[in-house]
Amino acid sequence: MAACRALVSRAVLPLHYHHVSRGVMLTHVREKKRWMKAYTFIMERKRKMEGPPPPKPRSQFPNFDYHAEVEAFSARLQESFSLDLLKTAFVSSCYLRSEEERRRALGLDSEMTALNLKDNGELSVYGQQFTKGFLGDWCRGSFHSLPEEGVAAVVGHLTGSEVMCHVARKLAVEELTMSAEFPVPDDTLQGTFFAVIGALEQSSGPVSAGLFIRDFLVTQLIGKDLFDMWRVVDPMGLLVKELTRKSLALPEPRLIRSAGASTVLPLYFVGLYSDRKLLAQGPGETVLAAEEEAARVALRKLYGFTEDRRPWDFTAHTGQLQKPSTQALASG
Amino acid sequence: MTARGTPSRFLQSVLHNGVGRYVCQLKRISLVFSKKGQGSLGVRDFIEEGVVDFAKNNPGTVIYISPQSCRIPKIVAEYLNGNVKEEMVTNKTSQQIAELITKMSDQSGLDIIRIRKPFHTDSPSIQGQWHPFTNRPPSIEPVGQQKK
Amino acid sequence: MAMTLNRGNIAGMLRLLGTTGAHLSRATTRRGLVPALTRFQSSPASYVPPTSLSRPPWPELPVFDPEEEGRKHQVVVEKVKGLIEKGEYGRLFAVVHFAARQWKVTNEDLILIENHIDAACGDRIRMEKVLLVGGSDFTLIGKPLLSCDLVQVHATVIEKTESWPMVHMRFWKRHRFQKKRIIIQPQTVLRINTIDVLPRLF
Repeated sequence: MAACRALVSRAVLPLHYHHVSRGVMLTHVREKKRWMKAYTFIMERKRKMEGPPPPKPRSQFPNFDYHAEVEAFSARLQESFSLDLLKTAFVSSCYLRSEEERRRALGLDSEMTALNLKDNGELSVYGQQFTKGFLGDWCRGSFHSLPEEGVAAVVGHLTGSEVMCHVARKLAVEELTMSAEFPVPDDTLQGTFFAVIGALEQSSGPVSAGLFIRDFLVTQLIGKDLFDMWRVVDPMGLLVKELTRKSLALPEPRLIRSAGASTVLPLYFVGLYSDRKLLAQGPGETVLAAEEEAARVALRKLYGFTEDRRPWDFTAHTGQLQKPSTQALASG
Repeated sequence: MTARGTPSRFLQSVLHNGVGRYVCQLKRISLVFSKKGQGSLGVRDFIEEGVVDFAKNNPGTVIYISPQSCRIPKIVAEYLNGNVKEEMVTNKTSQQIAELITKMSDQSGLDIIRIRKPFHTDSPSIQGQWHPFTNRPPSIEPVGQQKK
Repeated sequence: MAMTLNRGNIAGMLRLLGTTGAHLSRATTRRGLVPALTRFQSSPASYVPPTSLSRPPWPELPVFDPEEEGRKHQVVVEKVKGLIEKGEYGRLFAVVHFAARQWKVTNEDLILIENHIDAACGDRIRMEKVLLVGGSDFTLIGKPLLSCDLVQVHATVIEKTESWPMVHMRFWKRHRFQKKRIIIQPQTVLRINTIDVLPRLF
């Protein structure tokens, strides 16, 4: 056995040796191993049939201390969480149910093994309300003329499961969630992230929680276009409504430029004029498409969602979070 | 290999790090070493001297010390975007291991492959991207030389 | 004397034309005593039809008046000052000289520097050498730099890492010559946080 271990740990394996589990190498160490080829082929076939092993949560691998991880989570985000609230926030209801069933199946007394864990349901609802309120206020403050449907669409996009789960996964929330299934389903992860925000708000106050939401959710809006998040079927109708609300003249579309009308890729520029002044112009492959695009550009200008708008201020109140060394660096 | 033969990516950051607050991307570091082997001497010295300071300076990183019977001591770093990086530290001194660990804590977990462009921006054009119709007076006639 | 028309010869051509023109004007102004002679000289015999070289190829500009130019400049400066003071600008971009390169940066964008800087990860940095700042309605161009009372560009150090291992190899065939070296550069990633223009234009 020692000889076989010495042989297998060489940098280059000798002929007819393969990396197989040690139990198979107990006997027949010295001679040519005629069973090795058949054995490796069978193992390969078995691996191909079964496919890759199911993913296991990180907590089931070695080197994972839950308390230390939770503390590091709060230190990494530079927030002071109350650890009890945070640990409650990570516990999902499906986990509690599965644990209860497992303990009942193992035949343990339900009084002795009562789980002292609370659900994150309340925290999750609280966090969701706070997040939606904060994001709604922020949206209305940044874009004064955006109507309520637009605000709702933006807030819905930011609190939707795609964005929330993406952010949660990159902040290592998935590893700390206690849930019945792995990989953690999207809605559970979203609920857990809302619960974390709720726990933060209850531990450090609404200002800190607001800064957290601004730093991690609002940054997901950078580089995004309004109509990617808000599906508007009839931009021209919406534009007419907006202009009538502001008591401006109705938009008149005029063809400004056209190129390649008889080719496969024609290009038309349509401009929308309100009271003989140009509102916006937009390109398109057909005149109708160009008119719709021009209406969208006009709406973006009206709501202040253009590419050259004033960028959002992410530096307010980060004086406490930044390290005190503010250096002027002149490297050249 | 060559730049063409190896994968490449664009310059990016994890979750717009730095725009709001800076988040240290290293979440877990495991020092796997042996208690008696000669190759793990540097790791053992580092654990005696430098690990506690490193842990105090990086409160957002969890450090696991796992003595096992292994021939090659390793440092396993796990990052927030899920990447795991293993470095073998056989026969390294404590100083070298300290530098290596600071280097790993400064990195984000993105792949170390060729970066195509040394810049990245989400708003490339502020004054409006040029297209052939910029600065031309509007007309529906076929495109030709501009009359002054 | 056959002269070809090219860039080098235009000056010579113009000198010729100038001398002929000066000769004509001198003839008309100085010799007022002999007006008949000048009238005789400006008869159709010496009429030169206009050609492509009758006048210089650049457009005729009005005579430069420094006061009027100064007034025009003042108008532009007042306009830009008004825009900046009222804050009627949106996203700003700047051209910054950093690490021996010039970068066109705006808020929230990333830059990769091929060396390590003294700052630690997470530190905030102000870039001093700003050459140009612009928005959608105005641009401020420095000669060559803009002062730090006017513009401030702040950035954060996000990552200090190493580049991918680049292979530097030289090989000559049939000469048994090959050298191989792996080059790993230190790299720093900066995130530009803000570009501020302060309303204090000289």
